Amino acid sequence: MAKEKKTKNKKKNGNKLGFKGIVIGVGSVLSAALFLPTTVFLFFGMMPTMAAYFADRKGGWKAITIGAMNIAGCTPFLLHLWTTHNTVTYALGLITDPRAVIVIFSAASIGLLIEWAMSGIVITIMTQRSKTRLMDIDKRLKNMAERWGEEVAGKMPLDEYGFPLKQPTDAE
Amino acid sequence: MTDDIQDIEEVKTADAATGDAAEELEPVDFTSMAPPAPLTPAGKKGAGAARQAILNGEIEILSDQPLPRYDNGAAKAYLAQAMGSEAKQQVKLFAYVCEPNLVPRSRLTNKMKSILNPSIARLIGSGVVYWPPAKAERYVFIYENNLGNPLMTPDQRDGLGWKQEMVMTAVIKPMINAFLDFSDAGIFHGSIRPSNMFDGNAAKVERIILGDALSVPPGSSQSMIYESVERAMADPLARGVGSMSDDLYAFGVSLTMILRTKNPLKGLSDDDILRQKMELGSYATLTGKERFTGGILELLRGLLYDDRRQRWTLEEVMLWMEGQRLSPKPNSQNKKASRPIHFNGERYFRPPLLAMDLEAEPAEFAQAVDGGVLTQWLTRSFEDKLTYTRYEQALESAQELGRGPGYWNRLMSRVSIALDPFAPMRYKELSILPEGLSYAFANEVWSKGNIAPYVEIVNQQLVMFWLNAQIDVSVDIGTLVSKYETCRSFLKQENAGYGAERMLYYMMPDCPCYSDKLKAYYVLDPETMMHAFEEISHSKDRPALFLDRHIIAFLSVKDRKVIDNYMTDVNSSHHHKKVLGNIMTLATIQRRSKMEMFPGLSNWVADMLDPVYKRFHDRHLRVKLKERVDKLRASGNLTKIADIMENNNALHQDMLNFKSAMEEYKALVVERTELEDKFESSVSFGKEEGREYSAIFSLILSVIVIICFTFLFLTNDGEIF
Repeated sequence: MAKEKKTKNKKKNGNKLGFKGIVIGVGSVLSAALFLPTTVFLFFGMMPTMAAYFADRKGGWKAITIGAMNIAGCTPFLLHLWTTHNTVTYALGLITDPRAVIVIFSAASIGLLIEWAMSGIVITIMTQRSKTRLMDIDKRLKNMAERWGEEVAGKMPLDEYGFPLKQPTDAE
Repeated sequence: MTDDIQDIEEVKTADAATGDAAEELEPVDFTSMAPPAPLTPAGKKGAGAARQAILNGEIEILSDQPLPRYDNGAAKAYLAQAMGSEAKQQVKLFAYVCEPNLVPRSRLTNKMKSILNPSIARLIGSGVVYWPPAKAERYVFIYENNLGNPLMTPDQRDGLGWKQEMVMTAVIKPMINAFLDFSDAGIFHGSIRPSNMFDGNAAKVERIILGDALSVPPGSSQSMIYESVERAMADPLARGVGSMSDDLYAFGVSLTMILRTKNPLKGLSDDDILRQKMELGSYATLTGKERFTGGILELLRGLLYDDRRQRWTLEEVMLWMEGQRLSPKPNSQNKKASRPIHFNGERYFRPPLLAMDLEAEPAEFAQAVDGGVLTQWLTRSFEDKLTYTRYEQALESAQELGRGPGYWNRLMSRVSIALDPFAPMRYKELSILPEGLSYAFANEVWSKGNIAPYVEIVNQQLVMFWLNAQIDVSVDIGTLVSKYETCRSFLKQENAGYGAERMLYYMMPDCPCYSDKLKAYYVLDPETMMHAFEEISHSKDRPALFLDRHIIAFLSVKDRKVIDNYMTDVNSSHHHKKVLGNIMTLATIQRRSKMEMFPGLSNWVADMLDPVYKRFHDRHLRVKLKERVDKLRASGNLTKIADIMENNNALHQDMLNFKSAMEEYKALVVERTELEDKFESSVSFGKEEGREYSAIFSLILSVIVIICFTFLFLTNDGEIF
């Protein structure tokens, strides 16, 4: 019941933008309009990130990884746009320049590569660590059973002094 | 008679002189013989050699040289010889070897040793020895072997026909002298008879020597003819300690035997003699047609009164010796009914005789009671209010516990007391005087017989009924009541340390411990028990535990401080607690008595401790404890071992540690299950974390790249590529 209430509240909040959301939305639209050349350039330049964002719905970490490298690829062209002809036409020309496209999409690809490589490394490390932990636990459990007897597992009925009601047959 | 007194004085002077002579004769100081020494294996066990019967390393008892003429009932006599110096070896000795079931009166040793009277066998010492024929320990009494021959053999009933003058000199005067000493020392002899009187090896007897009194229970070796009627009716072992009056009676019978020329009781059984004594009186029975004249007649009549209240006392005998005439007193015990009662095919005129035969026909007895025949006879024919009152009390008392099982036995024993209050308590074929119950009970316990009747006598307060019926104020009622009430309280508790065993050792301080574990030993105190266990520790079939019901009760009576603190443990149903209780008890004895080390015992104890180690959850701690105990295994120090094992805090701490280990174990199992679940249920194990790390790495790299681009852009005048 409590969970249902919480999800309902979330839905309500999602449907209705708060004041803060309205301010940010309005600010964003105004900024986009104010810096229209940049907006146009980024809209096309950040296409890989957008694609990754929509493709990955599990927390958006993939989009962040690709996006970070994607923006890094856009940086030199943005600097050029800002310091030369900061117009929509020039921005469109810049984005259609094959060199820019290659650089931007290569950077985004590097992001993808990082995501793939790092995930693999981390998974390997974590799996290994967990296996080691499992082995440690097994060893510890075995040691405890040796030191305190099988009754330490609490799987057999014990008397008031903690000894098995029926003595185990193995040598203690 | 005045001359007689002078003679006695002379005898006394002579005694003193003889005593002095004896003192002179003794650079050999046997009188200072130490109390039974601890039974150290040394001296008792020769390596490979046969063990000999040696008392305290000073006197050897020759088990292959019996002296049957000195036997006192079951206590057999053997030649003994002093060891050591020649002077010592010159003193001729003999020993009585006592049977453990017939508890000897060992506590009277010192009193008897202190009596220096040439008319009493001189007790040299006593103690416990290993007795080769029995392959077990026995209690022995050592006497100087100067007794000579007994005046009569034990089964001889014909008279000796001695002249009165000779009897006066050789028997009466020395015996009166002996009685005075017994009276001073508070000793009841209980074995006064011609077969226990000796001639001192003289060609013509000048002064008899009275033999041993201590090697058997009082009165147990006496033929019933020497016992007063009431003691004769009791089982020999159940006669108990009597009074000076009983000894004087036995003396009277002995005198009669020595004086008479014929046996008027020839062909009669003991039972017939007893009945005749009850019918005719002791004097008439024992003398028959024999006629005595003069003073000796008065003496015999005086000593042989069946009513103990009328019987001559030692003072009266002394007055007789002085020449005073004492008037004869009526015998009140011979009251007779006007008409007989028919029972068991016989006609009874006297209630005591009827009381004696009640058990012969229980069914007829029940009819006589229920049909009112007995009531009618008592009220109309016997006409003794006191007897009838006792009879009514018997009926009431027997019904207190209901008319269920055992009622008729209860009633019969009570009616028997009512009819003859002087007689012993009769219950289920036992005939017991209150003072003698303990000796008979000890014998029954030793022989593993039926002790139930003894227990029932105490539980059903038959002794109290007997005491209430007593007219004789000489019976120490207070002491007996207190003693039996205490026993009853012991019997109510079933735990080890109480019950019948506790009753036995409480009533019988002379009794050795009757535990099966100590069957080959004669253990009289906790210290000798320790030495016995030390010897047992070397045997292959040593028992699993030290203490059993007998030993626990024995220790509790002898020294309650060594066992009472551990009574809960030794009674516990947990084996490890029993083991601990056993060890703690022995360690306490060792510490309290400041005893030497017992390597055999400590080794045994170390072997016993496995169940105690197992009470620690921590196996590592078990090993450590075992190592510590093993270091002390050969030390003989039970106290230290007990200290290690008794650490209650360690056990408590172990329990806490175990609980915490259980919690840790549980948490680890949960963690393990979670990890395994992650492995099994999630294909993308670690993928999420990998993405997080990728994003962070990518962001950092991006910042670096952006800074680098910016730097390049600014330093290359807006040109990067």
